[in-house]
Amino acid sequence: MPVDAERLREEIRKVYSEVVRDPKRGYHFHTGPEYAVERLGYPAQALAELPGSVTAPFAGVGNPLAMGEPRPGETVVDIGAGSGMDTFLAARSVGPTGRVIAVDMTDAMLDRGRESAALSGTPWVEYRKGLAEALPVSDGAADLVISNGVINLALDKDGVFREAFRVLRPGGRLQIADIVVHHDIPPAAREDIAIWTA
Amino acid sequence: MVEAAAQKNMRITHIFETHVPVFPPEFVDFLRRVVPADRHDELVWPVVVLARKSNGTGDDHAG
Repeated sequence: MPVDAERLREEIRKVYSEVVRDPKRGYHFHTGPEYAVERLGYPAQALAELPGSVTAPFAGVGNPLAMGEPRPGETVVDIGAGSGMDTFLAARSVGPTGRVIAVDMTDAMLDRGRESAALSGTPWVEYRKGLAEALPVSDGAADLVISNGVINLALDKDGVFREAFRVLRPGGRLQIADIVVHHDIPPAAREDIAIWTA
Repeated sequence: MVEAAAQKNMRITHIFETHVPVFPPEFVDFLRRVVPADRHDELVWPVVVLARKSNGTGDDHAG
């Protein structure tokens, strides 16, 4: 039986709410700034300047900003922003004349992100509740769309790319880090919600 | 996933396979020992992709 999209989202919300609450508990994926620096090549100094509330729950799989940082004044959309490590790195680059729209579907992440924006004095970071497949962003608003370890969790991946394309301005960039397999996933695995969230 | 991006009139300019395993190295070593070599491609790898939306001028390098 195909995986139910809303049930999958609910399981994902549970997992990542727990990551926010207890980021060092130990998960089937890596978390935290040390992992980001040592394994993914994030700049240690830049992460050290961010609040621990932002970096500790980080659970990305690569560094989308390694492909190029946004320019001052640009608008960035972060799909599945989570606690916002990429969000706040982008915010530092765009500065107060720019804007970062951080989209997430998990209330715990939204609460954490909004607290961090206040704590770090970056009112140009705006958290919005929404799905990757239905971004709460107007057409052509973004110079850059980023995402980190999120699209693999979406059932409708084509829908995510459709939305990213819609919100990008002509000439805008999409920079994503995610995971892939080089073979088709067996039907039984596709239908196993535990594997989706693993 | 990459193909899906390409279908949306996105010009993919760079795909970087980090070859940093999602799992700890010792677990990957274990998998490599117990999984036949012809199935190693089934392991999950991270990638970083840069794509650019066409600007409609035919010059996809313009930003």
